[in-house]
Amino acid sequence: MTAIPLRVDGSERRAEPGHVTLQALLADSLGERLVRRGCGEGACGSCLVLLDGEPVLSCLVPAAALETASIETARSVLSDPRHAPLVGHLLARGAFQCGYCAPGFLVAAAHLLAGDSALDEAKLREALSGHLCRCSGYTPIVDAVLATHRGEPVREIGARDDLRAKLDGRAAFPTDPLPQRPGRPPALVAGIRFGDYASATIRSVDVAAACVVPGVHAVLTARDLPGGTIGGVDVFDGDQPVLADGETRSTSDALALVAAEDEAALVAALAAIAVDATARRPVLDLDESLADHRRVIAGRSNVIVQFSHRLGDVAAAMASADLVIEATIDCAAADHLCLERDGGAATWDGDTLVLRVPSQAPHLARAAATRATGLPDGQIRIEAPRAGGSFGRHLVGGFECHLAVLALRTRRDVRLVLSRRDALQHGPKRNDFRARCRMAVKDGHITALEADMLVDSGPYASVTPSMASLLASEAAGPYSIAAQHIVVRALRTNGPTTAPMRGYGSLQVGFMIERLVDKAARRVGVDPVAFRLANLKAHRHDGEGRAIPGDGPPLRETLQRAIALRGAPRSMPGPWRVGRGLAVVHAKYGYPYGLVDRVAVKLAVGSDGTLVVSSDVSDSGTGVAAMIARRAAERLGLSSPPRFVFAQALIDDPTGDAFAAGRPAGGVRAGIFRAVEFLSTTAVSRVLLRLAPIAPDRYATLLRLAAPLVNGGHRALMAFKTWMFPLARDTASPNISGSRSLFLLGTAARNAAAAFEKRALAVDSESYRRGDWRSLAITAGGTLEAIGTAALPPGRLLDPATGNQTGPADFMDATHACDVAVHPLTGEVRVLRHVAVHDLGRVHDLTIAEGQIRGGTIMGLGLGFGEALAIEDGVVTATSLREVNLATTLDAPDELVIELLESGLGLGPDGAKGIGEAATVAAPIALVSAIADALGVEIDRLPLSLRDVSSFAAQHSRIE
Amino acid sequence: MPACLVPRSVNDAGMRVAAGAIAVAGGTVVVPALTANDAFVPLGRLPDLSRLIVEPGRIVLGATTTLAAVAALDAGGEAIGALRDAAAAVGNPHIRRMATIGGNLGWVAQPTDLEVALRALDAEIELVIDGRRARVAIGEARPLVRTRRALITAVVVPITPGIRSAFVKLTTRRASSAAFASVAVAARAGLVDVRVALGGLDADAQRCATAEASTDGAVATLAATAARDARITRGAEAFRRRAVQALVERAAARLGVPA
Repeated sequence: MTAIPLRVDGSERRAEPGHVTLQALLADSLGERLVRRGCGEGACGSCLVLLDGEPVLSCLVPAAALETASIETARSVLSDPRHAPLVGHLLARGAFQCGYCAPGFLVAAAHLLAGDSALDEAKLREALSGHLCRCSGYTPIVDAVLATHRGEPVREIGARDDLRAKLDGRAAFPTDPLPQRPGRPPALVAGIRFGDYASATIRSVDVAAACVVPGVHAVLTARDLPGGTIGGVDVFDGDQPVLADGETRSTSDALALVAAEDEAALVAALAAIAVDATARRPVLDLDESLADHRRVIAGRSNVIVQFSHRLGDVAAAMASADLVIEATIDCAAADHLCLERDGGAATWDGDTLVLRVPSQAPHLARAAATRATGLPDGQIRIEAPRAGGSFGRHLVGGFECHLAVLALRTRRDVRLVLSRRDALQHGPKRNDFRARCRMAVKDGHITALEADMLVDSGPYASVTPSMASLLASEAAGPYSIAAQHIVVRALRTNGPTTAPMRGYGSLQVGFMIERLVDKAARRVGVDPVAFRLANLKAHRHDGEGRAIPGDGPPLRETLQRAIALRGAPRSMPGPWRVGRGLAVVHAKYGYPYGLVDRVAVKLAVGSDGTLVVSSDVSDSGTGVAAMIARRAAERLGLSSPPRFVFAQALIDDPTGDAFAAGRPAGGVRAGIFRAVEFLSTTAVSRVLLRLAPIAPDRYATLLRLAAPLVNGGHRALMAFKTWMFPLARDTASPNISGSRSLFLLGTAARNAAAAFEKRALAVDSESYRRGDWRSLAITAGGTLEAIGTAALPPGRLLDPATGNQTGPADFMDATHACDVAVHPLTGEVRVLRHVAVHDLGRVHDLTIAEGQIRGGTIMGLGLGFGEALAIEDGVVTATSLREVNLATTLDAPDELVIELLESGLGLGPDGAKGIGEAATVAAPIALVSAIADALGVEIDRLPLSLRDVSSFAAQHSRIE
Repeated sequence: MPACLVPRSVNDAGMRVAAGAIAVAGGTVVVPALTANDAFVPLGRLPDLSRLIVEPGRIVLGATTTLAAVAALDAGGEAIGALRDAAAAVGNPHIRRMATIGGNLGWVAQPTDLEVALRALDAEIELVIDGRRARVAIGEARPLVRTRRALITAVVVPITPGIRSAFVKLTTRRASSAAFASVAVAARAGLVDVRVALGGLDADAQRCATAEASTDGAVATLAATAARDARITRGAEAFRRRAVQALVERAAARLGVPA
């Protein structure tokens, strides 16, 4: 076959034949990073290019039909000075976060601007509705295009150098095509044969036919693994196999791996794998998982972990109440739906295996790959600087183990990118949740709460224990409730594997308490705003649960502002019914199980005069990297922030030795570090998990007895670790956004800047004062650098009352008020006005803050209504993005009002709090509250569909 | 890489398709499923398939006419409002710019928005089958394409003076979202000579004869009859009946007949 001649972005290129679509040809043959495949079916727009001047979805153009063609990608837009205002407006608004969808939007916007002389917002939203963005909420993209169209001057561009890099392709995403390396064969393509059933006995996995498919280099089953058999997240329980052997406990389980020369050989080999399996009746329902002791999925019980706490006399409060509300609350599983599909690449750098994978916990990814391959620590490097969305998805393992063992077997570079179908059907999901709860009300006040919460972990522990811990501590939400009896149990099921989603459980537990409050207000006949105001927490509490003297959290302010901003209700013509809903959220923020003790940030300047700030923050679009740079700039009084560079050394060597001195920890030091890490987190959680099956009361007694010993030992270990490894990370924890990162990284950045300034003044104060970094570096001998650290104040690993970890914590305080119109026959829901009032402690960057709130709100509204994840018999039935109903540009509320408050109460720099999660928590709760109000019914589940809403309306009509 | 079999003529394309090759025009339906072992026939360069003929009493739309072009048709007036509405409701703007009317009617597994609209308009389909040209009623085309590998070449839409038509559908999202139910209504002023076509309810689009017969000029009667008598085999029956009722009222409102 002959090469295909093409003109791409003005250059004559010759593409290898063999690719099915134009997108594959551009990306995989020509290495074009800006033509991405988010869906492969024309729903997401990530692959949009101009073909002979006309926009086409390149994933739908057969490559073989091309003869000579002129193709323009986003690169043409970026290099064309006429489009500089468009790029400027997009950057100035922080219009993209993860940036994965950006090239497609760029091509579409540039084409629209060139062709339509009368653009308005409605036209733009319609024209861009073929593009999906999971992060931004679309409005800043639409605004930027409109501003360009109107010829408005570009505002000062913010500090998001990371965003520009994502836009122009300098920033590589994990699943981007691998550049062809001179002297090396091209990368192999890899695929996974997943199990077909939620639960099955596997008698054999016959790969003989697959092995002889021409072009196949490796076919691996569980028996071929070179190292350990455990993959996944090994923080709480090492129970998730790299490859299933003998049984599958979920459709997320992989049975075999294939690496092949090309896609055709890969597809043929995967199809040739013969699996002899017998389906078993899966355990899918949470109540069934808890009650059916004969069908235990693993260990001695399906209970993975439990938390409980008692406060006051619940029985007495219930007995004396004016009203007791009972409810069963359900929040179904959801998909994180990152625009970038799951996958990554494994490449060889000499003898070092480099894994480029999306991960918010790169230390855990490295540990998993090390176990699976048997390679020593120093021979595996994780490169995880950014991902095309995460929302919690990449807290748990991806496919690093699978990539690693295939690369090790073949000694070739390997690239694995799941199809959207596989990502949907086999990737992790947000935890299913059910709560049976009762709330007592007397004289308009909530006097007691009783809740028995069950949370689905899928077949493996994953990081669910930390989420369950949060559910237990947040049950009362924003309200003062004197008597509580809360039990939370994380359960194994044969459902998909799980990863917490934005809010880390706060959505589920917040939905529970807010639904109870709405019901109570309605039954008592009190306005829901007044009922809430009468019951809001009167005091703030620290992470230990102790009341802090003074005012309550800034909830009252958010609620009152939201009510003021929502104004009078709008009317709609019949048969539409209008309703108003509220959600008040007071939730712990960035609160992992297992304390993150310290982070380190380095500020350095080399002889090229570039000031660089670095830390090990994986960037899923959160702006944390930008925040670090800004905090350093503030401390140094700079007008433009330093460039952020991902600190690979902290991932390669979590002791911090390599980061500080450029050489990794020696064998004994590394061994001591690993032992301390194991004892301080993993060992404790393993013991807790082993105790999980016993009855809640006995469990509580054991915890009370064990707590002093555990906490004392933990404090001693932490003190030792701090002394011996002052820059070390806690490798069991993710390095994500949120208040904890904001506090730790922001403080460390300022400390690094302070240390840098001190050194600079000592070395060459003149150059420093002039901002002449190059001269400063030269005077310093070529490089001047300083490291700053920050540590969380210590907490208790084991609260004797609850089994929870306690420690310093921020709280997200927010109120969302939602006005909807609901069509009772069709179930259509139109958001007329949505008000989001958030206390952010301190707003350092208004663009980033508003972007996070807006994007989170739109995502949350989608999670409340419309987004569907049909699961039948434990198998996700959706095969494409079209079926899951992501919101588009056309699904925005008629009016979205955002107001940000600054209480200064956060742990972060100048009292700042984290931003990203609260809106996704509050928006769906307020939306369902409004739908219930419109229909005059009680709705206790999330998410809702058209059919659900219509059915609720019909039931209500019959009742009437 | 799939083999590209460039056709010399419409008949040649028809024969290649009959022999097992996949017809590709816009590609929005078939390309996602295309594999390296497939052979396909690109239809884009056959001028006969992209013709637009406006004659008294009918419009002929070549099979490769894009949905964007259908949505923007100047010809046909209010009689083909349902066709324009339906074309404008498919997928998203990028899809509509690529997708063609022939692909939409032939290769999509389920009855499409366009098919529902064309049912209400009594459209006919021209196709090549077994080497011969034929014209069939709209409802017969999909089975011929899917089971006998016929190639759709054109859609013939009658223009009946005095008729107005409209199409509406119920989707979760306003772009790239499948219809739970769809309705096309064509009628003369005062809801006379009403034709009602329904989609999203069954494996086939359907005309609702009882609703068409029962009309007394009142939208409520029309909507209630259509909701009652719709053939629903795709589950959620009660919900879909409620949706049909609302959609018939909505379509009638677009024709200027309020509920």
